[in-house]
Amino acid sequence: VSTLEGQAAAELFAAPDHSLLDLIDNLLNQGVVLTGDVVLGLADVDLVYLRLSLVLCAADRVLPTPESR
Amino acid sequence: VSSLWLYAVTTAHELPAGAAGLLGEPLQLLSCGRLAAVAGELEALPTIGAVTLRAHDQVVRRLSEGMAELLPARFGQAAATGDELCRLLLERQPELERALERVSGCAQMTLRLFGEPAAPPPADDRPPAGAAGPGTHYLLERRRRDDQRRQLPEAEELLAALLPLVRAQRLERQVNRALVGTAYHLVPRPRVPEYLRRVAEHRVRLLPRRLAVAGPAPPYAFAGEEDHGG
Repeated sequence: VSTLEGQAAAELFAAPDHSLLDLIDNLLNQGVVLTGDVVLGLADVDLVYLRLSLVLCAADRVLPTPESR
Repeated sequence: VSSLWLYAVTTAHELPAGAAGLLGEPLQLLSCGRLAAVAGELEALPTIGAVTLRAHDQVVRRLSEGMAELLPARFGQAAATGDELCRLLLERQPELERALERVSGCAQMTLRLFGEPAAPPPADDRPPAGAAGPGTHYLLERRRRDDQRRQLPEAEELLAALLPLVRAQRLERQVNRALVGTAYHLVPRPRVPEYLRRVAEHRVRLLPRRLAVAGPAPPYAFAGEEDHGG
């Protein structure tokens, strides 16, 4: 990859908010899913019971708030 | 009570040296027929949060760099024992084997298009030729709308330019909080630099809409049974 292309790629990747969006999308919407049950602790929230095929995500707990940016 | 936390499914017979999980636990490669599960034994299941998601992703990324055939697991997949984990995977063995073959040697690139969506084509109010009744018309219209949810006409030219480079493509139209839609591409790793070059070339033509690119990443979006034909 030439320097110019490298710069273009770096610019495309330089989006920290998008990186978290990408993380949430990949890890909570995609990927191999088992069938079965699991209990997950949601950060600072009571334990919630989830079917593995249905992952719940409290977006306001995961996405950064304007104050935390 | 400990659980086995699933990171990935593979056909590999050994793990990269020093492979460790999101809490530093040693990773295990559990043989399940022709498949193998990469898992770590955890005393307490992790909570969902940015820190744990990033840690899980880092584990999968390190694995994917050393293993050509790897299907990442969704965050939160766990089983009480190795036997249970294998049983659950073997129930889906044919599907997982097909997916592993498809992702072999590939990385996932993700394009997200932000901005105003193009105006949707008007609904077709004409009765379908040769078909009877409003029920058929309703179902055909539903199918048309479902098809639209898997199209990104706003990025048609870019997607056409990328298609020769990708092994599989998934399109999802979101039109949600300024996100027009997402294109997931399965790209053979040697073609990633050319993929990025073509994206950079076309980016300006998408203005005023904005394009965000993510990757190369493990093939999270190609771990399921859906038809991802490019």
